[in-house]
Amino acid sequence: MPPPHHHHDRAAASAIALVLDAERLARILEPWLPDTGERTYMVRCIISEGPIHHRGASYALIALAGAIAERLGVTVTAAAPHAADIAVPMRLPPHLQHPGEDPPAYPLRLDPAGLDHLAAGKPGVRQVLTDAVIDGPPHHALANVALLNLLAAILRRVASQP
Amino acid sequence: MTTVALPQGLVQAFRTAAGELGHAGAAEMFLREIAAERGTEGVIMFRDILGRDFPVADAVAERWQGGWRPGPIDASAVLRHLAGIRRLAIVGLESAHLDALVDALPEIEVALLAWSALPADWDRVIANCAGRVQAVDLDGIFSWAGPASAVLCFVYGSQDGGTVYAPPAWLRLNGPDMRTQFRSLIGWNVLPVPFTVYPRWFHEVQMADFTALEEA
Repeated sequence: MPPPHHHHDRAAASAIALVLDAERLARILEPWLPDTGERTYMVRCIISEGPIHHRGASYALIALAGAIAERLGVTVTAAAPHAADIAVPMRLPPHLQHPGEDPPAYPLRLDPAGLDHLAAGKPGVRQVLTDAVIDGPPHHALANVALLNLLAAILRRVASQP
Repeated sequence: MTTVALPQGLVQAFRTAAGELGHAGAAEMFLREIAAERGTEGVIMFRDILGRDFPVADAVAERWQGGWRPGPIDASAVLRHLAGIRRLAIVGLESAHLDALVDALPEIEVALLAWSALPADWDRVIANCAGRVQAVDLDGIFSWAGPASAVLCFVYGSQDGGTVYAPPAWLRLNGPDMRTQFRSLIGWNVLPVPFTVYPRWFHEVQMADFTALEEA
């Protein structure tokens, strides 16, 4: 007899891991991460680290946004970091941070254009949303950034269409 | 039974050497001397005296009995994984392999996690690295984190079962924080053979702990 309130079978961690396509994710992220070593590092952080459900969820969201970007013919030429891009800092223990010195940052940077679209000129919005996006566990923050970068590129593409 | 005697204090001497040179490196050095002085029977006696307590030494001795002899250390396979890396933190100790790595990487800063299950005089260990290696502790190693930083851990054992033996320091360090703050997590298997004796001093870990695993 099934236990009470048993609504659905839980996917096995190994079953989720099997559908995560690292090469597909790497292809999607290539415009923001032209260096192979850096790209492999970021793909690992997003779909090989952290809780398995996060890995699966992040993969689904980024892969789908990548598919939409591809369908729309989005092209990203971000081989060199834009001056406006925002660094995603590593969260080192506070006692290891040196005053006046930036902490090391991940190679994937945030394109703030999507958040600026939401802010619609209102001051402070970009800052608070950026803080929310890049805080938390690295696998989560980096997946947020990858998705927002894709959405920003999609927005640009949509806005440029008549 | 062998009729060859080995010097008293062998275990104490090996323990000190293993702590400051590494289990495999110390075993190779002892076996080289013992084989030269006492021949095959000396190697068998070495294994009888030390093997149960020092499984890496036991595995090296077994290899030696099979005709294997240590050759020059080739770090090229590991170097391939260090492209773009500027800072390297080492976990575990095999001093000959560390020397080979440091020699091959004049432009990379190297730190050694100065912690192990065996007692060691870390000032002496670091002094042997000709100023190229700094000591760090489990906390300070995070000062070495960054997008161009890597961790390299010395590991042992056959990889056939999907696992290798890593020093306990790896278990202390390998967490969600460290894993995402270093670009690469490299295992360098300096003794890729099956062990006859349970790997005391080391722990079985998944090969998947590492982003790259190379055999010496």
